Amino acid sequence: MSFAFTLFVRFVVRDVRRNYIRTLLTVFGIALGVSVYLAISIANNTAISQFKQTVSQVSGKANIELMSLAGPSVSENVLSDLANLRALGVKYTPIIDEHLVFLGKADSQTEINSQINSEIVQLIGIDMLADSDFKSYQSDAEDETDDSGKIRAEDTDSKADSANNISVFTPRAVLVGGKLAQRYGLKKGSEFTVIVNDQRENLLVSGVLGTSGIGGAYSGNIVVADIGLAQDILKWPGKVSRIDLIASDEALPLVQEKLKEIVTNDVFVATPDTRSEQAEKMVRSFEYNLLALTFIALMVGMFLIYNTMTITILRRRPEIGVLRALGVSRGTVQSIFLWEAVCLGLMGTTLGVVMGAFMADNALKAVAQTFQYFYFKVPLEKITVDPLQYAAAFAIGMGLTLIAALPPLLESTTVNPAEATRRASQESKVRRSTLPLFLVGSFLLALCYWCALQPALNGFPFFGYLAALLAIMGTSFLVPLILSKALPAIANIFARIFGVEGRIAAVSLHGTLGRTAVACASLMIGIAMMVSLAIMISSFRMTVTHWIDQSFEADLWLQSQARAAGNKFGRLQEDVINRVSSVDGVAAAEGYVDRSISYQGVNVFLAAADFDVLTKYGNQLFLSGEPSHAVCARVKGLHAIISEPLAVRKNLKKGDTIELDTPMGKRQFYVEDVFYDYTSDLGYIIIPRDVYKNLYSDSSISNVAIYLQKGADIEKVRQGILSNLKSSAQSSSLVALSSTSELRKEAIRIFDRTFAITYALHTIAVTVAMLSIMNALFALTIESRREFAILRYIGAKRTQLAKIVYLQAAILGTCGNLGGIGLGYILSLLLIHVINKQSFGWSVQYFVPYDFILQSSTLVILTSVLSGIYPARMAASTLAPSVVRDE
Amino acid sequence: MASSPLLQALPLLQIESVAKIYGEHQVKALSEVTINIERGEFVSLMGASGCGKSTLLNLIAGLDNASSGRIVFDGADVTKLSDEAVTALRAKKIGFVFQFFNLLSTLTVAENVALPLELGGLGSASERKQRVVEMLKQVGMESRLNFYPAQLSGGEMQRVAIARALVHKPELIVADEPTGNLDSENGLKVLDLLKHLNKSLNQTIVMATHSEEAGAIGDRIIRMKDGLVLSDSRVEHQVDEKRE
Repeated sequence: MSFAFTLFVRFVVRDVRRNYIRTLLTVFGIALGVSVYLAISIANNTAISQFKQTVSQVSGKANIELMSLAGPSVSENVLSDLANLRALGVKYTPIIDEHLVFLGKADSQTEINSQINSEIVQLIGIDMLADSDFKSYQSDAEDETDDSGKIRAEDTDSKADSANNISVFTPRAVLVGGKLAQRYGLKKGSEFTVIVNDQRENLLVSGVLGTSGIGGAYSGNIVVADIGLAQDILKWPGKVSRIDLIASDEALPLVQEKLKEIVTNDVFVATPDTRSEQAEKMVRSFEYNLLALTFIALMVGMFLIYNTMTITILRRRPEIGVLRALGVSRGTVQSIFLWEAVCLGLMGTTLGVVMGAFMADNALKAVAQTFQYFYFKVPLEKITVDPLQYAAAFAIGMGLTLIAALPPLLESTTVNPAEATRRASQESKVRRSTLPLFLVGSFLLALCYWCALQPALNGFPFFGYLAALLAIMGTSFLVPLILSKALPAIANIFARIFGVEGRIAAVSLHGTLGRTAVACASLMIGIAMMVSLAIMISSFRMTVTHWIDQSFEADLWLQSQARAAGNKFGRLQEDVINRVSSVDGVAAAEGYVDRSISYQGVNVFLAAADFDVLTKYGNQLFLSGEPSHAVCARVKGLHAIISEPLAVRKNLKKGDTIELDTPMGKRQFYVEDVFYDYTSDLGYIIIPRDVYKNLYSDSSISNVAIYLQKGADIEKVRQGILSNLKSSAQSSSLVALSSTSELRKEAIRIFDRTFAITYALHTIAVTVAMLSIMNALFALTIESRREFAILRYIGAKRTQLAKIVYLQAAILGTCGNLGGIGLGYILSLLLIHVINKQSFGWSVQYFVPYDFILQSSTLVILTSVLSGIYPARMAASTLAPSVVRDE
Repeated sequence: MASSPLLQALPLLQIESVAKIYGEHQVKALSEVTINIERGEFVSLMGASGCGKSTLLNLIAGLDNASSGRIVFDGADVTKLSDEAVTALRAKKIGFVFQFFNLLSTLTVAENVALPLELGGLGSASERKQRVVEMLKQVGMESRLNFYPAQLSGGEMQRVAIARALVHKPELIVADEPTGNLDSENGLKVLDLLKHLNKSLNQTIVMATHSEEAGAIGDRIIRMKDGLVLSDSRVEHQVDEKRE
């Protein structure tokens, strides 16, 4: 056993064991930081990898895809154009890949406008006869394929079943994913109902897919139908989602060239990876935002480590001096403390990784709905475990621990035997460095300001995040000088209010400025995160509420049950508008439709609206500040309005021109204005509906905004509309009719759900900060044992010593809180005006939730005081003569 | 801090058959110690390190509990008092002077001296201030009121510590090796100061020391060894006269 190791065990391990509560606090602090990072990172990774996996399972061996630039479908006619490619060995097959609203077994009854208990499942339409070359469609599971490799609908429990003669080619027969079948008790011969747009469709189960191959796509929440049936279900005659092709590697470049000549303008040639890349691009900002939040928890954890190591080394300086006097080298001293940091890091990081693995499921649940609502509807039920993520979390935890421990480690080597016994020397060093630190902090804040003014780098708010980091570092460096000036003043005030204990509390903190500043800064960061997020969320909520109040002028909103159930592209037929308009009390009905298109390589929403109605009744808020009716009146022909996120992302403004690939070829639209919109960060282009109908041959509508006549009774009109729709030819039409207030509530509910994870993250960061305060109080109490003992000698009561500790806790809590509110204000400005603006393109009106900040501040100060309970008890029980005798 | 006339007639401190045994191994730090200390006496407790001097001082001040025996301080049995009562006793009736001064580094000289008054809630702010200045004058440190301990020499620190020990007019000063951390010149000055306070204020002092020279300044020398009292004798006053 080497001398250094022996020394480590005797000098460090024993001390760590002796101060086990502080050790546990530190380890738990690191663990929390690492665990939230890992949990969020796993949740993010799961979302993307599940999407990729699904793409791969559905695409199979296809290496080229033909998709529409103009919307969800391409014409089947493209298939006939591909015949010539057979000479190059190319194989192709049409695919339908769309959402369905699964209602349950066929006996489920759903009334018009009733709340339905449903879920979104994926409809995969494939050419059952022609896809034998696309093996991956058929999965590896033998029960789904026959010897020729084609899909076979075989039911595992159906040998004696009379329904055994049902096959995938039986009318209305489909294969269902294992998960879906299990959840609803479906088996061969079962019937179930789905909602497509506003219609109910009954389907028959011809078999249940296994979990591998296509059966595993969308986690088994799928319905696989022959392409013809899928077209029938969706009412997509002659249309498919895309065409998949297989070309040999050698022929691939030539095939891609030929395809460009063959296909029409609105069809683009892509690979399955293109969709994954687009998905990654879509969610990138959301993911980075979440990860950035976890880094704040990690950073507070770093302060905890820094604090622990600094305090350990400061406390043990005299002993280090003795070791040095006895001939122990600087390197050995450094190495034993390095091992302490490594051990703390190892324990904290390992615990963090284990905790993170357990927390990942909950993190996934928390973010899944946001991913699914805003980005893609892939089931996110089970975390995807990637060992590299565990390794990354481990490396980050250890790396940050060692970085945090570095300054105190370097400090340990500067201890010389003579100086070590003079406790004041270290503090005077700290006191001397307050001004230089303040100057460095001021410089960093100036740099932060410069970064905040810089644009995004390739759509990523790099400088925004850098500005946030600089703000945190800069403000932390200001803390020592501010405290050194504030604490004497606090001492005077506290002496007046709390007597001598108040003064001792403040002057002791002043006397140990180094660690007081670290504890205060770490609490400040935790509070700042809480405050900045609270300001951001409140501002966002206020902005959205205001926007909804202003923009949602209609009194009622009609949409298909499919859309209401979560299928964004659920449609109604156009004649609904007339039917609604004819109801007594309705002043006007405006049809609106939207679809997802590709614009300059990214997914955006193309929408169409009746601008004549909007001119009269609408109230869109435009960036130009121009009244809604004035702008809407000009949106005719090839004119459009675009949403702010799209304008920010593509650097577009009023007066610019955008070019869209439509089925009728490229069309240029003049941008009349940019409107505020908070429904999606992907962006909207809204054009007149008559133009849309001509260009896209689509007369369906997504929803109808209904404006009532003055004085009309909303309930009567609602009943009138519903009975009119029910009595019409479309008696089966399934619609949802909501009032604006219901819609508003729903929007706020979605908003709150989206931000639920954010609340959880800032609670964790504040918890780590509170650990830091406890840790600092422990250290201060241990450090002050001698002073406490002296006070006891000269007559201080236990309660007086406890009072000192509580007051110190209150001072730390209050200072950290005030600093945190200041830093939180800076961070919130960066979040709202730089990071979120550049990430999502949303303009958010600044709003400070004073009541929340006041409540949380009170809570933090109270918690700080409560965190002093144990140290106060320690202080109160100090009465060791040896403490006083030792020097 | 004046006691009742009845108590004034009794010894300030009665230590009766006190023993102190430490730990599982039953280490005897004190065995059957019996001493009476009268008011105004300057008692030197002498002996080598580990003889039990400091243990005895701790028991007198109620900082530690005796294993057996009785310690009556100004009429109160310290061994039977609650922690609160012992704390109050210390706050009002005992002043401490330590080998290592034990001033609070973050408080000024005046603040250090004022501490016992403030902790005990004694007097108004102006009365406390006046008393602090008065005490610092007595120890010759009035010019260092706003200095911090780090700005003082060892002798000065000890004088401040003595001022702190006296500021609340205690019945007893307990001094544990008060010159142990001072050079001989400063050590003598501190001893002179203690002697002066003993004479001028009739201040009772119990001083533990291993130094023969320091011990000789007391009116009475109690020699200890291995937890036992070896001798208890009065001292001629020539030492004081010589010095004066």
